[in-house]
Amino acid sequence: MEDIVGPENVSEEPATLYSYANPGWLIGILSGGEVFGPLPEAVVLPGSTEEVQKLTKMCNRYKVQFHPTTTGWAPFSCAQRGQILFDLRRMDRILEIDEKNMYVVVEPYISSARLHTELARRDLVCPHIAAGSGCSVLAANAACIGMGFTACSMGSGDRNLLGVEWVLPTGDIVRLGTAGAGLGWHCIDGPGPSLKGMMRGIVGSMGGLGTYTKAAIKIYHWLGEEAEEVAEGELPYHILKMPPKFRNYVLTFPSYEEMFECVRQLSEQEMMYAASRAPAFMVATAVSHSNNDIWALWEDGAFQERFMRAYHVIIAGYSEREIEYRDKVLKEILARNNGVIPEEVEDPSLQSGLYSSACWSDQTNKYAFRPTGNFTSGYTNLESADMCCDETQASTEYKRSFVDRGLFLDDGDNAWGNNYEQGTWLHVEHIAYYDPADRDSTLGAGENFFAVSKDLRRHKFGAPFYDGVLPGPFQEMGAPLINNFSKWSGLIKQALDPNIIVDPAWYPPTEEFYED
Amino acid sequence: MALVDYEKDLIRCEKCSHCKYVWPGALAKSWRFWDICPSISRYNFETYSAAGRMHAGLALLRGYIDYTDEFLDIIYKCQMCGACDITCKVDRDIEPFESLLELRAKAVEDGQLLPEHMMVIDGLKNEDNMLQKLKKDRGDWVQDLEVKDLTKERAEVCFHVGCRYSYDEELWHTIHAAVELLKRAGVDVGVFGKEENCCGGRAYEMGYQGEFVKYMESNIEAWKTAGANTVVTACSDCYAAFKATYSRYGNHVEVFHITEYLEKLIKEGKLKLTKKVPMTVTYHDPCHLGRLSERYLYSSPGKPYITEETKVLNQMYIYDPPKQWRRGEDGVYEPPRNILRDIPGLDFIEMERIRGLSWCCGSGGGAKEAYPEFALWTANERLDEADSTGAEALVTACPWCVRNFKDALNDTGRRMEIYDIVDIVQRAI
Repeated sequence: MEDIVGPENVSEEPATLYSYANPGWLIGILSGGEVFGPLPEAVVLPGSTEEVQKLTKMCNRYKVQFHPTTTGWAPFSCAQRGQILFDLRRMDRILEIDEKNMYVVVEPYISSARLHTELARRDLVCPHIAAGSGCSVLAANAACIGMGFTACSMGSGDRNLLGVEWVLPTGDIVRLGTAGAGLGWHCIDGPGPSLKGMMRGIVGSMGGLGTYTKAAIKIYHWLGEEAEEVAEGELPYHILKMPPKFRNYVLTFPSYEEMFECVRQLSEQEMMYAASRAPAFMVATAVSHSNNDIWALWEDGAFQERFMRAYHVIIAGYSEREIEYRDKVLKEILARNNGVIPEEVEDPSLQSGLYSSACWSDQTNKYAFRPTGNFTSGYTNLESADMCCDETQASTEYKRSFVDRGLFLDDGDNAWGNNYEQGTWLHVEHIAYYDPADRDSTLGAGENFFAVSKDLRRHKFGAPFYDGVLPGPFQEMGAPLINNFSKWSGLIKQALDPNIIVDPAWYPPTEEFYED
Repeated sequence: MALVDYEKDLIRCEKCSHCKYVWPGALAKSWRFWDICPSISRYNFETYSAAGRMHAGLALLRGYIDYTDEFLDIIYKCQMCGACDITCKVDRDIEPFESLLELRAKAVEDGQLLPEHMMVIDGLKNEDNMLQKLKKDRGDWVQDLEVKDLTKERAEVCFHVGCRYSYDEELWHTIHAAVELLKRAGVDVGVFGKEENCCGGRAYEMGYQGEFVKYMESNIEAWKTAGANTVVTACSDCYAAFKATYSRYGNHVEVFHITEYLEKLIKEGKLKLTKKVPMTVTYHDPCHLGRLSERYLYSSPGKPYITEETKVLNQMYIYDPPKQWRRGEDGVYEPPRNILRDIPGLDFIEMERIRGLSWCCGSGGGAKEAYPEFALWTANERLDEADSTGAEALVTACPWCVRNFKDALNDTGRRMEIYDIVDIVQRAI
């Protein structure tokens, strides 16, 4: 490895290995350990596709597994015991911005916020995933889910991937689509090698099918301002200024049925630039600068009454006339579904927080980690609006079994979610906050993973999303509901990675392979 | 406090990576000047970030790892600039900077000492300064300057020079100018000269908390004896030590940075900026003048916050009484800028990473002493940013910044003027 990347880019130092073991993310508890997840054997920092290829071939030669990772948010980034971790941090360039054909070509370690700094000066923007704009653009679109608050106008990760350079588990390199035919990076489906369907569906390979060293991502027009005009005030009390071509709304409803129907209609009419569920606790977090602030808002119970059944929507338009039109349509649909816009929405701090969240994905870590240290997901699904509505109403009851035991935060109905494909499906992800520094709370979060899948099946709330994401017993339970996908993905794994050199934890071969 | 007191924070850090770059992302302005942490920017492994060090610290506490030479490098290849603390606390209620301070203190307590730092601390113990110079030479900078000697006379204001200014002859013109400006404005000012002692701040940040306490107590006593109700200093390290670090021990020092004091004198009409200074400049916010200079508002000796964690709603942790978070918003950002804007003929252009998000000069935390190449690399990154503004000069407000930038210029041969803001003010009088 030192010969390939240089000795300064390889480490077996124990302190370094522990820094990649993601304590506090459940992976430790779930893999039988304590706070820390599994340790890699070594960490290596390749700086180019050629170095990734050489390292991959080396791993095949010595039959040593590896796991590629980028910005490292979430436990999917961890290597397993006995593996080498490829940290792609040194590959952080923007290779091409094609303004005419509306795509960028990036290396793995570029985050969407960093990319946006260069796009914004050209009046362009890339999608930011909900996990936060500090996350890798390439990973979000090529390898791991890729849902975000702007999905209602920009689609999800799989839709925005226009090309990939892929170092296969064997060390061969393939470029998909037009990039593979030397025709540019604008279409991953061809003309040219088209393996996108093997490469990812809605979830992605989570690092299990080799290393993506370049990706072409679709970009969009940016209707906001350049960074110089963005904010005023000192951190963390800064206020992001709403660009003139945006409007920010929080919609509240008397019932969940009316809320989800309104969202479905708005999505069908393609009215929204960005959107998300806006439960009361999330709104309280957006306008607060500490947990004490959140508690001050929450303590007397009035705040949560005002933001019950709330949905956050941003509209944007090229012209004043377009904005007026969208505003009219939104308010018409809102009225048909008995929704209202609370007065508190005009508060500059709330405007800033919600805008920052939806358009910059800047608030996620505040929502996800500030209150208790970490979160886990309760009822989570990608389903029709009606199904999501039923799930939402059942989810608070499900969570109560953990809240009543003191294991999770007692925050009522709390969920992320957005709408996709003109309202044909929605994403709901009900949040359960736990404290990773509290062992019982953490064990409760682990228990939740198994319990939630079972409960979703009991209610027949579609195919549980995490059964598609999490391997082992989850996929065993969930796969029969989704065309036995794990058998097919297992065969793909075995075809592309015959030596099982790339981490199989999130992308396993078939059961028969292990039996053989 | 000790590292073990921050164990919950070490666990609750879930590696969002905001400690590595400008955050919130909306405030970043370019791909090139995106990073905020010199350490991980230079060395790339996760362990060189605040999150990485916190997790390594957790592994150390749990007994999973032991000290190695490389682990000590990981701990000390950090300027303790505090940028990670600012970006983390936008979203989180945890303490990265405090954790890193206590990790260093633990290493020192466990006898894990860098040879380079040992030499500096030996010099401090023997000669009361951080530059391994002789105490008897500390007052040489005074030369023929007519200024009260606080060992013999009393004065309202003590002008504390600091170790760097005391011994770095190339920088003496700045403190001469500062004294002249204060006298011109009619300030009753004195200096301790040879008898001045180190503030202790840099030693504290290197992990030598015990040594620091001695200097803190000595300085407080000296000011009392001299009748100095106000301390003014042109060194940002000293400023942060007096204002912030001394307050960790419950001591409230009436201290001004020279920029704050000059701004006050200018507003009062006691100094008039009338001469044109036709120059295009940019300004570097010293870490210790900005984000690291906030006082600890409630503290007792050894415990920077008097507050207890409690939980509501089952699992949300709050503090009782509410914690007065130090998040950099009360740093000294405006006075230097106001001065620069008031100077006739001066064209002032901002860099991208400014105020609480300033990129470190590279000098602090013992990095310049133990890892000079890293210190210069960090300075060169900042000089690249200064260059990108088109400015012909970089102005700052700390001798450690000035020294490191000058050393980086000498190292690379690039052309840029480096000034302390006092030099510019003197030109405008």
